[in-house]
Amino acid sequence: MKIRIEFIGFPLIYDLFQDGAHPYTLAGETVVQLVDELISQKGSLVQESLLVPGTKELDPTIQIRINTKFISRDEIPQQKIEDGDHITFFRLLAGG
Amino acid sequence: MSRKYGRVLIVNLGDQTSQAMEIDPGVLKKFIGGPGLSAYLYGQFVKGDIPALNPASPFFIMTGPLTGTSVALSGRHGVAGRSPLTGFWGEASVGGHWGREFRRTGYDGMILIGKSSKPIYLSVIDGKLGFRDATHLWGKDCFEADSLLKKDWGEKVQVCSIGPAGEKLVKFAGVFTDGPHARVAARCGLGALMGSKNVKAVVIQGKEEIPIENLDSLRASLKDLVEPLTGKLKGMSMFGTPGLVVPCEAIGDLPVKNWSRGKWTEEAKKISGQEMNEKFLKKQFFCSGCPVGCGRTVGGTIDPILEEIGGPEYETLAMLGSNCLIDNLPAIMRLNELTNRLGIDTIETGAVVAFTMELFEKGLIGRKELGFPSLEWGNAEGAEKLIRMIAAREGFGDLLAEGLKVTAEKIGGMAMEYAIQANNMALPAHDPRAYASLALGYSTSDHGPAHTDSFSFWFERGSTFPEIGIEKVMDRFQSEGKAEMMVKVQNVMNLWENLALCKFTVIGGVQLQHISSWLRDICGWELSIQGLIEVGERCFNLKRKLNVGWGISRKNDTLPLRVLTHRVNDGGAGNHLPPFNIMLADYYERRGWSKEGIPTEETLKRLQI
Repeated sequence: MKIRIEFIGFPLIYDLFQDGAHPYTLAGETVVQLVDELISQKGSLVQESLLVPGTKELDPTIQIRINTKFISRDEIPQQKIEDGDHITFFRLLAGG
Repeated sequence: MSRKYGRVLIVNLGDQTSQAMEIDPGVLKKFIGGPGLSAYLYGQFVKGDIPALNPASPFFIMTGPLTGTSVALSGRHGVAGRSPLTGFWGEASVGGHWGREFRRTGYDGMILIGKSSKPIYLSVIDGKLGFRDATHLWGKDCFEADSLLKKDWGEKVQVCSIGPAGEKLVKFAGVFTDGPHARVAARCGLGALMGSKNVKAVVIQGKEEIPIENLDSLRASLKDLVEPLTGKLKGMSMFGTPGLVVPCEAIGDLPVKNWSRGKWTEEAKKISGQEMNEKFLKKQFFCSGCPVGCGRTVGGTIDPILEEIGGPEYETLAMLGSNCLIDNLPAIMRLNELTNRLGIDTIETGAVVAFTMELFEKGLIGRKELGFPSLEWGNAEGAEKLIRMIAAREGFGDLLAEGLKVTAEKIGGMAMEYAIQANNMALPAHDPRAYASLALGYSTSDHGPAHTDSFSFWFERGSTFPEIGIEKVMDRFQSEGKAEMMVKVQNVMNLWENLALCKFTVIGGVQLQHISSWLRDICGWELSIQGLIEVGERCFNLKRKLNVGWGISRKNDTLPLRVLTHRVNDGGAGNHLPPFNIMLADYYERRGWSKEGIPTEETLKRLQI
C-alpha cells in the first residue's frame, strides 16, 4: 500500500529523511512491520534511532501519529496502517 | 568594528561607582565567557570564604562572544555567584532578549559588588550606567516590575528583575526577563543574591554593534546550517519542552508523587504538550536570534489577567504537576504564572510542595504547622497557598524558603527521606533510575543537581556526539562507559554554557568544528577542537576547585536515598537503580581527582588553574 512517512526529532537519520512527509510503499500492514521494513532497508542508523539498544523493542519515548491521531503505546503492537495514511514518528530529544 | 569582546562593567553598589574593565585576551581564550569567566573573576575579586549573601559576595551577569550575533540560538546570558541555596558555586542561564540587548550597550558582562543602602535598580542605556531609586518597584512582582519600567523607559528596553521572593531572600529565587513571557535564570537561588544587594532590576538598551572580526566569513559558515538545525528541532517548535511529558512518563523519567511512583500514563496525557497545544497555546515564543521557538505563549489566568503569558516548560509540568499528583493543566499553568510573578524557581518550588505534601501525608506536620486545613496530594489550591507563604516567608513558608535539606533537618524524623535533594538543591525532573548517567551528572555537577549541566540523557536516548567519541547511543541503564561519557559531556556543555549558546543546538547539529570557526570569525581566536574541550574541562575543574575550598568532597557527591534505593517497579524504568558507586569511582579517576573527589595538583597544573 502507498503511505507517507515522516520523522520529527531524529537527528541521526535527518539526512536520510530530511523534513516533511515522504512517499513510501509498505509491503506489510502494521506499524511494527513498517519499522522492520525501514530498518532492513535503511540500516543501523534507523535501528539505533527507533529501537531500544540491543533489543527489537520500539523505543518507548517515540510517539506515533497516524494522520492526526497519536497512538497510545498499548495500541502500537497491533496497530494497522491503511492505504493513504500519513505516519509520523515523533520524538523529543532536547528539552528539560 | 567599534570594540573587541571582553568588556565588563564593574558596579560598586556601596558607593555607587563603576568602572569598565577590558579582560585580557589570554584570559578570555582560557575561560571564554559566561559562568567559566565568572568563576575566574570570582577568584580575582574574592579572597577567603565569603558567605553567599555577604555584601562582598559578587553577582555576575555574563554573556558570551556569540551572544547576539547571527549565530542561531545565541541570544542567551547567564548569572552566577556563590549559591545562597547550596553554599557552593551557583549559575543559571536564560534565553529571551536581554542578553543580546546587553551586548548592544557596549558591555559583555556586569559584576555587582557590595550592597546598596536602599532598594535601587540599575539602568545601562547606550553604555551609561545609572543608579535609580526602586522604592516604587520593591514588592512588585516580576510582571509588574517589567511593565512599570517599560512605562518609564519605553517598550524597547529589556528588563531583568527579581520578584518579591528575591527581595525576601528566598533561597531559590531566580532572575527573570521578558516580563510576562517569563524567561528565567532559575536555579541555585541567584535571585536571592541579587536581592541581598538591594537591586531589583537591571534595565538596558543599546545601539552599539556587536563585535565581529570577519562578518562575511561568519555568514558563509552559517548559510547551510540553519535549515537542518530547525529541521532537527522541529519537534521543539511544535510542542516545546511540554512535549516531553508523555514520553518521559513512558520510560520512568518523569517524577511522580515525590519520586515514589512510576506509572502515571493517563494523567500525563492531561498535562502534555499536545493537550497544551490544543487547548491553551496562543503562539510560540522565540528567544532572540532563534528560528525554533520552543517557548509557549498561553492564555493568562491570574488577575490582572494578561492576554498572553509564558506557558509552563516540561520541568514545571513535572515538578508542579506529576510530582505533586496535580493532573489539571490549567491549575499547573496558574501555579507556573504565580511562581514566575513571585520570582521563584518552579523546579525547586515543585519539589518543596511535593515534599510538604508527603510530610503532611505521613503526619510529620499538620494543619497547625501548615497554617491552613490540608495539603493532600493533588491539592492545587493548597499548593498555591504554600507558594505564596514561601515567597512572603510567612509561617511554615519561612522555613521552606531555606530549602529542602534545611527544612528536613529542622523537622527531623523521616523528613530527610522525603527531601529529594543534593546539597539542599532539588533534583530536576529527570530520574537517575531511568538514565544511569544522571546519577553521576547530578552528584558531580559544578553547580548542584541540574539536568542542564550535562544533558547526558540525550546520549542515552537517540543522540550521539562523534567529535568527542560518543559514536553510538548508549544503553540507558548500564554503568559501563558512563563515567567516560559524563566527563566528556560535562566538559562540552561547560563550553556551551561559557559561549551562552543554547544547548539545543547540539541536537540541531552544531559541532565543535562550528564553534572553532565562529570564534575565529567573531573574535579572531584560533582554538582547535581539543582546545575547546579543554576550555570546558578547565572551567569545570575551576568551579570544582572553588567548591572544594568551600568544603565539597565525596561526602557531598551523592543523591537522596529514595533515588538510589527505592525501585519504582510500576513505571518505565522497571526495577532499575543507578549503579552509582561504581560509576563515581571511575568518574573521579577519569577526572584526575583523588578518591575524595579533590582535583589533584597535577590536574590543576595541566589545566593551568
